[in-house]
Amino acid sequence: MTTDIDATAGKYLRDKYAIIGVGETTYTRGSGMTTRALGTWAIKNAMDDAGIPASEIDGMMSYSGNDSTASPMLAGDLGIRLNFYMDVQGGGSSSEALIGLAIGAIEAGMCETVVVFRSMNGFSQVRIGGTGARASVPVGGDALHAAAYGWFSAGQNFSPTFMRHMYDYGTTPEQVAMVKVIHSEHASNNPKAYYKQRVTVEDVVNSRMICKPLHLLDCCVETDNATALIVTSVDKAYDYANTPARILGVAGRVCKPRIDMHFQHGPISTVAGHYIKDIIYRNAGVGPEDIQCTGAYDAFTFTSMLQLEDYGFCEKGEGGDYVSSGIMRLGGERPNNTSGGHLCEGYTHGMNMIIENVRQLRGQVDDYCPVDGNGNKQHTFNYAEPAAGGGCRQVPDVEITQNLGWAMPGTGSSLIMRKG
Amino acid sequence: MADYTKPIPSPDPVSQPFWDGAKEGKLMLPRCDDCNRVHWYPRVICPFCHSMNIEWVEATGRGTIHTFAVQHNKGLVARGWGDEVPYVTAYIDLAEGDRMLTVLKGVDPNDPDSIQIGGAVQIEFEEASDDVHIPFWRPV
Ligand SMILES: [Zn+2]
Repeated sequence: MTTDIDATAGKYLRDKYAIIGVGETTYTRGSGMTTRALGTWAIKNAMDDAGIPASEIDGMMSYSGNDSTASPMLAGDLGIRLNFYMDVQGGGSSSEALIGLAIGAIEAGMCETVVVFRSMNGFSQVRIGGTGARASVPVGGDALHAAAYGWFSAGQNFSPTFMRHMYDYGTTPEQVAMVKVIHSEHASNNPKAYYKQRVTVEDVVNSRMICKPLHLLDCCVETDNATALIVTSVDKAYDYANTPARILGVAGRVCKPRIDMHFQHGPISTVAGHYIKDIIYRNAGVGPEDIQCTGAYDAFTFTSMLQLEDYGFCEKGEGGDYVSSGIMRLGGERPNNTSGGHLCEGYTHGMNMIIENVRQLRGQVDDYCPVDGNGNKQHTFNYAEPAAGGGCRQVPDVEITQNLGWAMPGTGSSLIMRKG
Repeated sequence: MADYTKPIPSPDPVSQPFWDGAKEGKLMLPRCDDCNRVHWYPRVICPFCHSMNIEWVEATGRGTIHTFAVQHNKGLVARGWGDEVPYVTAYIDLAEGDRMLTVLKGVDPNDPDSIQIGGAVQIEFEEASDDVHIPFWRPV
């Protein structure tokens, strides 16, 4: 038995676990399937990707907001015998947190290999925010923060934060619109993306206002899809088909003070990343300057900007400059959401951005580039649209990526991976 | 009042003093008897020092706009509010401390540049039912 370790040290599990397989369904509106069927499809794709048989998966985790299906159903459907499963409540920021918990479950000896899935008919069944308001709402807790004033959706909740950032730092709608512009460029080279059309800053700021300062094109797409990824220890990770994406560090559902009403505490334009950075970079042993590719959650254009800023990719208040500088673009210094993310590819509460970074680290992003006789992508690194002779979205020589997961301004998660 | 069609909160024992004050047009706020800080929303334990000695004080009903947003999407707002779009939601920094969500009255949602972050506002109450008068704020 090993006794010479300090299990309380944040670095203890650094680089000891990996993601070995990723998979997803199509990103559609109107899947015509149950979330149960979608979930089995995504897990099957992740198992096929890893080349792992069902008999070697013994853990399963998922998250949902009463809009999914539970692990025991999917395990049964797929003939997987589980030694561990757990289905939790939650949306954005859960993906990274569950990867951390999967590591913990394996480390505790409860199981050996865990599949994490998210299945949702996010367009055709349970939409973001919902519309079914109750006529009477309890006033316990923060109810005067919601229905009494017509608040139901994420955009409504977050907009005051976005407005205050514009007021405090002079951030402009045109700067923030560049998040959508850049993600749309990336999506144009992604055969899976729901929206593949490139857009301009003018398209964004001239689209109809949903909740000032959010125009329609500042908001993510809502889609039906399931996504899955497989976590195992580095001991086993090299037994399967792909170069593993090794996990350097994870931080899960880190919160600002008083998230009951994060709006009330401290600067409203500061988000959870301000706190996460102290955990994730310590755990991973790297800093923002080492990250070559980010997956900053883009439920809205603003959420990517606020996170990148508070994690330290730029100075506080300079997020508008950062996102409009071209740094985040394919071919730029640190591309963000190279799949098109939630704004363009599909809405998965964060899973697709992790899947994308896993593929980036393998050098095998599924773009329009040709495939050689061994089934490997021959990337051209031409990031123009396919019709213009481009179609690539592989970042050259990616060694380290980071995901910045978002639940709301007050809560977030993060995951740093390296090429195995 | 019978025609108030928007969601109406249900008072509970913890928040009852607030609603009692609202009926009389007064902003009653919970204040910790130990650390002397005001918090919003009402609760049984002071979020700052964990004291359970909470008293209710009548506030000035004055504050300033911390931030705001303009609600345009009929499809996303609750029953009753859909017909009000565009309307302006805001956070108010209370003169006594802490921050309160509201809907601003007396502002032009179609001219958001005219709404001043930092601008002074005063509370008012709308009678939603016999027992529940809902707080709103208006620029002074
Ligand atoms: Zn106190």
